[in-house]
Amino acid sequence: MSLQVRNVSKKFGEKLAVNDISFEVSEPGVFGLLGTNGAGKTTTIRMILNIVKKDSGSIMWDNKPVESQITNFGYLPEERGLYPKVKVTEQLMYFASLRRISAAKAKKDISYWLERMEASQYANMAAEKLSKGNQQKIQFIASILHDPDLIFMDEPFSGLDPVNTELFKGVIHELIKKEKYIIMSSHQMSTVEEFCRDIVILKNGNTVLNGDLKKIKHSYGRNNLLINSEGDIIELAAQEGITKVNRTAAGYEIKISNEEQAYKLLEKILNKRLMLDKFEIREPSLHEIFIEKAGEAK
Amino acid sequence: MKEFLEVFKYTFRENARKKSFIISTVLILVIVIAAMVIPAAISKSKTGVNDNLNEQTQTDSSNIKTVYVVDKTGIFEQGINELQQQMSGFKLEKVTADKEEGLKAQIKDKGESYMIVVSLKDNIPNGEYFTKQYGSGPDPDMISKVFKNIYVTTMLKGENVSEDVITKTLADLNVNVNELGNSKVGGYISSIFIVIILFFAIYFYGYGVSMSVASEKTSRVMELLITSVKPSRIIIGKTAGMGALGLIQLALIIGVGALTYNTVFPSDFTIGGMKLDLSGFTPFTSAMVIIYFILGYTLYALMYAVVGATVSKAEDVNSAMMPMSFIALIAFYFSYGTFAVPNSTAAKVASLIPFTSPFSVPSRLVTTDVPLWQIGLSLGILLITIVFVGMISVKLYSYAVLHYGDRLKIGKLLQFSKENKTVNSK
Repeated sequence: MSLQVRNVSKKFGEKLAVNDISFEVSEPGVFGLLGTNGAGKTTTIRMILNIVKKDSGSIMWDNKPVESQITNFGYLPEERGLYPKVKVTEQLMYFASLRRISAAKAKKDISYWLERMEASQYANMAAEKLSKGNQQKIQFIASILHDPDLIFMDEPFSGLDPVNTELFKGVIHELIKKEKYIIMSSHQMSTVEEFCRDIVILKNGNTVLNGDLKKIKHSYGRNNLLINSEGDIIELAAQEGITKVNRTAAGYEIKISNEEQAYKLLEKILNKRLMLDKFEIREPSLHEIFIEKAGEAK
Repeated sequence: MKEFLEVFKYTFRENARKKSFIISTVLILVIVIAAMVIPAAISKSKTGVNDNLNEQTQTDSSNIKTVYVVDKTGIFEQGINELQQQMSGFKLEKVTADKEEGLKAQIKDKGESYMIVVSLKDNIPNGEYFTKQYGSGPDPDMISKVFKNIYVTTMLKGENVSEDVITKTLADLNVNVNELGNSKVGGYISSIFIVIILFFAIYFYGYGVSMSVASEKTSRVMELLITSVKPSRIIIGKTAGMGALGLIQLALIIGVGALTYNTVFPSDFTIGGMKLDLSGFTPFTSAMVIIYFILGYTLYALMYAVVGATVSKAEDVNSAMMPMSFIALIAFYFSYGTFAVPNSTAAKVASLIPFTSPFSVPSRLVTTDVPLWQIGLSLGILLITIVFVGMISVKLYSYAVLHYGDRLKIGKLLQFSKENKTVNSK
């Protein structure tokens, strides 16, 4: 099974929302649909789900168009979409029934998921009485209750505290283990980074980066140096001809042109007998790549 | 089909459980019962009040009002006691003609007494009745009858006619009206009743559909629904669910109304002398009322669903509803204006226009005989319109539900939906 998106474009009036986007999700796991606000992530998902008509291109899941009647997919919309005055269990039962799940099975699964998401105590409360994060839990359950093969998650972690973010991550890891195909849109790079195998970065509707995240990172090379020390690193770095030094709470973030530069700097630090807590040469983080690709030349 | 049923069931259940539905149903039932029990109670107690008054007159003499009688004819000289007997509740006092003007002023001032002046006009007794305000004193019809009886008795006695014959002569001759066709006058009341009930039921439940769609859109549940179920199933399921609820409420109101009517009213009850004629309610008419409710409701609800789908914020619903309310109100007044003359050309036209026929035809059926071909034609046009409006509604709805931002104007909506037909809409 695979999801193929080929040369898909969408205009809203005169505004180009998505321009000629192509990507393929051919293995189970998480695919990252990344981009700044208004980059076209949600429009892309809506086009895949066939609720917004694409202007051109083709979208196929298992060589068929994505449709609720044919495709078993789940959808976690960006905004909370729950009946405010209806009890949590009741609306989940309704959503399950629309997905043709028997009442008995739905009941069992709902109580399992409420338990799993640590939300059992909200089962008989009206959705509007729940906090934003707890509503997100219910919304999350609604998207995976019918055990879909293909799951779309639009900003799944928004509004969650760190504890619940970890809870969500745990469930997503379970889904990956169950060989689900997950398309996740987000602009929180650090949370996405640990799941995504492949990514697309969109900017103003255009694809600015596309491919395997590990390969992308590798292509940037190990040109990031992180040093945590009490001494004055900036001056030492300048002696080595390194000018891109950024002092943060975590230490010094230094851009190097090659690893040789880093080792020379390390030598200098050791010779000066400065205290050294951390010395790390690494690839750029997704966050850094994103800032570079999506943030450049606004 | 399964999804349609699920949407239907959910809409029905959620709305039936709403406090607003339960309260409004109970309230309407109370009003219906009260509207029947109160007039019935008043008409019953009226006779009772008169009895009480008679008793009061005997015990509490200060409250008795005086009726002065000026007899310029001399005919009623002997009959004054008889007059007093027949006009119980008032104290009759014979006065001479010279006091007439003084008493008039007194009546005008205080209004606590009345005066009857009898004189001869063309040799026939003629009465002048003075009161401060019409309706507060003895009934003029009663006065006329009482004076006439005494006059006739006196005249006949003068001709030596026997008492027996006189009594027979004075007996009231009752005429009972038996209408064989549909009663026009009596049916008028049922007609108004039907139009108002149908209008409010259709308007209220159409509004309900609109609100329900709008709330799903504003709460963004719509996105989840529309990715699970085809939009056509949602709009039709929702319309049907709400309609079923409306039908049950309507049946409940009419049922309770009929039951109360039969319990509290005597069979010969009249409203202002007009007999309330329910003979127009044949099984055929009742079936037609239900059919026209279902069809009329469907037509309006489908349009209301689109209106609900055009708004992004709940507070926009009412202003978006304005054009629809206008159509409904114009249709209502058009049919309301026509059933007074149920066979006029205007009434016939109203029976054919799909927006007015749900109000017009049922009300005409009660008052007059509508030819079957007219009913058939009217139903046919209505059905075709529903299919047509339904198709457009589903299309507009599918597009409008995902449009957030400013409220969509109908023109813009039509244009957009042409450009962006969602593949999902059918």
